Amino acid sequence: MTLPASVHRLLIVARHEASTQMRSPMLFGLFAFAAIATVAINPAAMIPSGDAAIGGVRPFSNSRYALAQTFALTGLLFYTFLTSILAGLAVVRDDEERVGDLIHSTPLTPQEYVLGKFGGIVAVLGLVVTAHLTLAIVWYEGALWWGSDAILGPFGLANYLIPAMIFLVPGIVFCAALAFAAGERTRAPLAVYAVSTALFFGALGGLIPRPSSSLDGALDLFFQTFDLWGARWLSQTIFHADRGVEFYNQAPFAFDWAFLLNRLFVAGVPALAIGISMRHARNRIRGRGRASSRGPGVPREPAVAESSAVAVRRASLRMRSRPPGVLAGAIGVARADLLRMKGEAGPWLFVGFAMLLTLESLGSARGVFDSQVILTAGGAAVGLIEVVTAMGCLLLMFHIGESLDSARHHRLQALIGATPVRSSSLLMGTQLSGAALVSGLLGSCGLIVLALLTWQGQAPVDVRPLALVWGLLLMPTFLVWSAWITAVVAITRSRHAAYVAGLGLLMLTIALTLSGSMTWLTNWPLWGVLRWSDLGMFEPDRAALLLNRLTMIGLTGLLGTIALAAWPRTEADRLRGRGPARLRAQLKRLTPAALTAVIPALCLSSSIQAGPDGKAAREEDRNYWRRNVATWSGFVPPALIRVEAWVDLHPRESRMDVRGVFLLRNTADHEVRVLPFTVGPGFGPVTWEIDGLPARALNRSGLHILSLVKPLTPGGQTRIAFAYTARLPYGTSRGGAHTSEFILPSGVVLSTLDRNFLPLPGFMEDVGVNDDNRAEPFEIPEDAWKGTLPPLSGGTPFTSLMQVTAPSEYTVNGAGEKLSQSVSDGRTTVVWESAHPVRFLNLVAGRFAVKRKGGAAVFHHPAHGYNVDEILEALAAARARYSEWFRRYPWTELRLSEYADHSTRAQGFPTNISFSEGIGFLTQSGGGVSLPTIVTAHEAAHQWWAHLLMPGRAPGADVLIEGMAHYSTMLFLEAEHGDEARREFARGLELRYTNQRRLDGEKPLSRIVSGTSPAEESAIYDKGAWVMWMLQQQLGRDNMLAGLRSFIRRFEGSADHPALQDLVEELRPLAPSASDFQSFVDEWFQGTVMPKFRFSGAQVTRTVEGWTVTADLENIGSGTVTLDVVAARGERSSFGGPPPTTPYEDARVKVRLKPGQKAAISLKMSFKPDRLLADPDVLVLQLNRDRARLVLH
Amino acid sequence: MIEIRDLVKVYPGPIVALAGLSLEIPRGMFGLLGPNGSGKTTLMRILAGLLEPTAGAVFKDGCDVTFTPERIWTRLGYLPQDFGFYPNLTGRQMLFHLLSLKGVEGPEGLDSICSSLLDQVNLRAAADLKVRSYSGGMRQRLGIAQAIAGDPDLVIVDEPTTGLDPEERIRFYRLLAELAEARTVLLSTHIVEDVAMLCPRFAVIRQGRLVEETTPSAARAALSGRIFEGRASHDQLEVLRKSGRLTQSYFYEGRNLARVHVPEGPPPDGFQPSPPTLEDAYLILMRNEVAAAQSDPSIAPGPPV
Repeated sequence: MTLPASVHRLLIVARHEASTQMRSPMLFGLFAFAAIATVAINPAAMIPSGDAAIGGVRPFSNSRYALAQTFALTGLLFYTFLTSILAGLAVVRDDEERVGDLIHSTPLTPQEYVLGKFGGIVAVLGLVVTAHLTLAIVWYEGALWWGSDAILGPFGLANYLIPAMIFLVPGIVFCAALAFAAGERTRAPLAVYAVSTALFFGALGGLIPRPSSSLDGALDLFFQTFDLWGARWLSQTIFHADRGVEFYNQAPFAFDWAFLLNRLFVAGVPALAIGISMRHARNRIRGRGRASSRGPGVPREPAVAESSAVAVRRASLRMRSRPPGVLAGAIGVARADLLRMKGEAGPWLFVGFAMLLTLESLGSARGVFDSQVILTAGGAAVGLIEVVTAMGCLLLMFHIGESLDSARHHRLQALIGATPVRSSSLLMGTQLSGAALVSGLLGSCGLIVLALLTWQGQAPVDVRPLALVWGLLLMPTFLVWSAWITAVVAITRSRHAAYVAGLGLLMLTIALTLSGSMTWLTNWPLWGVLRWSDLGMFEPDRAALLLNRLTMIGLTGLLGTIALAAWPRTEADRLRGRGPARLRAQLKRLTPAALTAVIPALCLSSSIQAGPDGKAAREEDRNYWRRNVATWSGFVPPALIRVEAWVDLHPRESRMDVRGVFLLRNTADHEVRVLPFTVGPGFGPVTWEIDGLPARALNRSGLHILSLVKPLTPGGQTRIAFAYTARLPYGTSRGGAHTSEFILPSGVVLSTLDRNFLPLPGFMEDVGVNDDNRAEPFEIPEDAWKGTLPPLSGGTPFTSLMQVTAPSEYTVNGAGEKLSQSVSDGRTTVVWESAHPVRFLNLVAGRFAVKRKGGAAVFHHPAHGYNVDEILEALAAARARYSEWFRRYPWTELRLSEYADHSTRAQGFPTNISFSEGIGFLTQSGGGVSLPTIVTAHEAAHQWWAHLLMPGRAPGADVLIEGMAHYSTMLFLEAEHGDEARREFARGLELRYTNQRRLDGEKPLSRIVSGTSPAEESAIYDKGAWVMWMLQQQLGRDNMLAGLRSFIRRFEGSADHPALQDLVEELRPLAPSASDFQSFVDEWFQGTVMPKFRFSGAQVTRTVEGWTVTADLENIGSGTVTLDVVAARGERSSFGGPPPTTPYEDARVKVRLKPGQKAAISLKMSFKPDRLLADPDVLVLQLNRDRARLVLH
Repeated sequence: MIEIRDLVKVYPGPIVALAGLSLEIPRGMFGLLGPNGSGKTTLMRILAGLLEPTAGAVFKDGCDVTFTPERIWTRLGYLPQDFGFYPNLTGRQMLFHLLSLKGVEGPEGLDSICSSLLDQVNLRAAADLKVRSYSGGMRQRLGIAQAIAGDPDLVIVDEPTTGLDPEERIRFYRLLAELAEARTVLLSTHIVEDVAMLCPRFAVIRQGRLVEETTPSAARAALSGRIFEGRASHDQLEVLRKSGRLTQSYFYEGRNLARVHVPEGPPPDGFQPSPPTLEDAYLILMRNEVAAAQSDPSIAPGPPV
């Protein structure tokens, strides 16, 4: 059958395009990326569900949902860039090869040309996808053959094909079409690269959780529309609320209308883009539309001089030629480069997009618990490192690739090559022009930061942190990146190979960062490793930062030398060969360059090895466990009844000199002959004394064993004295780990919660434990709570005396009451004593200002006064309220001390709360329940829940600490700020819990052990608080508080420590209905119910008296609950929000619903309601609260 | 003086571009003549330091510069056969860029030098237009401007008159002649007339080998009395072509005119003696070379350069 001529021509073009693309390094790179993604990504890990415990339910690696998520993310991360570039450069390439006139002077029409080119591209991309799918099938289905522990369901080809066709292929075609159209339109490579960058970040942006704002609707619509790979739909619709492993393993796809419309859009846009391209190509090729860029001919000059006159003129110029210096040559190259790009849209697109990303990142920046942060120049500079380096590196990569190749494709190589300019100038000139571009990009982003700071009107508008971080610290990042790209271009002679190498390095960097494998040695872009604090910059690893930067500078030199050696200035003769002499010469050139990188790298590596993450430290911890677990696990040391310590702090040296005394009493019924103490890894040699006599300890890898000369009889006491010097931090962390305890110039935070401050009596169970030797928690019998339980942590309470000296500019806060303070010889000496027994000691020191009120004090950095008043108000009020509700606060003052944000957290130690700057001092206040108030109230509550009352070592015990602290915060907010504040807080807790909740493997509150997963952490904190609040609704507020008071009275200071069940039993007598109480306990303490409500069949009828609303309300979740149902209109006031414009009215009825039960609701009211709501007062924990409503018409 | 000794260039294949070329290029204008693919451009690129030879050496004023091209670049003006410019730069900007790479300087400054050079190549009016709007001839003139800038003592021009109209060609020849008074100018071309007009000496290369090095007058003198010209019909032309005696044929006033080389014996009927031209000498040389190559299998086919 003979094809029509038009089709025949189209196929010729397509075939040629396909064969050209088959030889492109980018195609190989694309397949390599897809293959790496296949091998590296475990589809089962894409399912955020399942029970990780041994024998728990786990998702299939080859289920449709697992593969859909895998393909969606693979598409986004690995296909977007290279697909776009490959397609976008297709027409540009023909321009560079100057085949346009030849091709278009044939019968080939512009439409055939465009369709043929795009068809060829789609064909090769189809081959890549086919190869990718084949590899995926072989790899995943064959998982068991190569020893993987993946769980597989039955094989189904449709499980692969359908997700690929729905999630992967449309995105590929979209990116290819849009980039192709951009390339055809602009004929400028940089514009194509800008489009591909925008596609990547646009799709990625849809996945990043975003705090709610007034732009929600518009942003949602935007990201939903441009959800090219379906990743956002999967994340938000399918995986957002855990549906259980069973669902993900078995259920077919259930697409909603929004997703189907999105797929239609993603499929339709390519057709439109190609159509526009065809039209534009037709106009361009036939010279229609705008005037040709050639313009009219230039009028001729009349024939000028005779040769003698010309000779005279030339001679009068007295020209001479001198080889330009390296820098002069480089500047010349850079100037021409920038002139060349002057009219191009590409760089502007990059800069514009970077500014947009900056604005978006800063605008959506949130701190812990989704709090809005106070923007500071330093915080912004560090917080935007990922954005500016990613955008800057992409711009640099594309610019360098194009620039180094421009001489070739503009056929200038011979002219430039035959000039005396040095090759180093040619390469350096490209770096210089790239530096100018990146400086422009950074400057533009910096303007955004300064503008936002000005608009915010709080933190100073200071350009210095931006200059320091982006100008100085990031310079080696851009230098080494430029050198890397230049070297690849020089070696491969291909800009496309450089793009593959560059994108590959970026992917690798992202993977290392996300997996936590990035170290100081490899962290070339400084991602996730820098912390800005106004209290002290770039602590604690300043030395590591310096060595890292020096390494990158050295690496720049090495790569630059390699690039120079490989740069094809003179085309080498291949037959002549390298020869040993040439190799020796090259080695001689490379060695000094290599040394500049190797030396700082070695220093950095050895510093890491000597640090807490180094081999020696890990080995020591492993040995601690290995040598001691069998002998000392379960050993109950004698009770610590008094601690006295003398601590000399030297923050600038990260050092402390410590002397101390422990007074121990044997509370067991047998003699004790040996005493084990765990010492910290940063401790130097420790000297010991027993009852005043020097003693020698047997050091078993950090567990010091003291043998008592005289055995300690039951009831007997002994004094153990010790002295040592310790450093914290010691050495360098592996990758800038967060550290919550430190001795640094910015301040000091130490506590006896860990082993870094004072020796700890006994063996620490979790030191030296990792995934290889971690055991499942000891199974405590269900009725263990009925017996005597040891404390959950901290041992027996003791009295304390602590004397601390520090440089006089530091304020030192410890536990208890301050007995004295003096200054001498530039050092301040403070003595703290706690006569009331405590289980923990802590120390916080810094250069503070202080504010006091009502028995509370806030110590803060002088420049961080933003929220101090609010924190102080909350602290003083919390102390007063909790004293009233639970038990009188037994100390004089409750303190809160700020520290640098090396670890964003707050910890409530007795009388002395440590509070990082990022968890309250630098968050926005107002306009809702704010983080400073919440965290202050929560940490203040720990004075009661954890210190005055320590729960016993039993499952669910953490609920008595963290759950109760959150519940106390609820009470506090209601009392201090009204029910609106409490409702808002409760909604936040509910949302966090329901987002984190994992259907499979969720344990009841009474069986939860903390630290196993984010889901269980949220259950302890958030569900725990909610359950207490719901219990209070049953008991009544006064009964609940009375019960809590008696609970604390019973167990404070007791040798028996309470479990969660003890609290339940304490409250049981106060319940109005014993059966209701038991049902509640069964469902919410012993069970894992989760109600969920749905309205249906609503009708609004006008009556003589007013209006009647009828509807059905169904509990489509689990758990039996009683709740209010209201028909309402108007707006309810929200805490800190503007007053409502329409007054709120409602009519309500109480309903009790069992699981699956439907109740008929009938409400009468005098006003016309506009909506039905279930539980408007936020009193019942439920799933999808925002859907438990119905708009009435 | 440029001395080339036994220069060999073999590309992977193998393709022999230069097969042991030896040549001395004195001061002044020197022509390099040869058909397409004879190795002229390969030789130019080696002399310009852009290509390494496989064997052999190049000396400039007694110094071996074969692998140290930076010694040549400082005093080189080079106009390659195939070149381009950045399309978005103006002529002035492009020239300024190239001159700054060459390190050209003068008392009046580089801007003034650029203006003057653009004037000399008749590009003053177009100096501030983007190069993308230039015609082929204008680009060639811009190339010439950068080649003559500075004070090169070696100027290499490869097919320089491509795209130039006759008037511009003459201007360019005058420029080259003036340059050659004080330096070495190597003119590579396949247009015999250019060599005849400009070069006191020239070399003919074919398939990477030196065929002949001589002067135009000597080349012509060697054919004195042996060139005849006359009218011929198509059939007669074919006969003459097959006999190997035909040197040139062209139309004149609508009729075929043929020139034949008759080393001995009578000329064809109707043919009259004609003064030999350099073209006659060149074409006869090429024909003899072809014949020699056909009879000597050791002469390898030339490269497609």
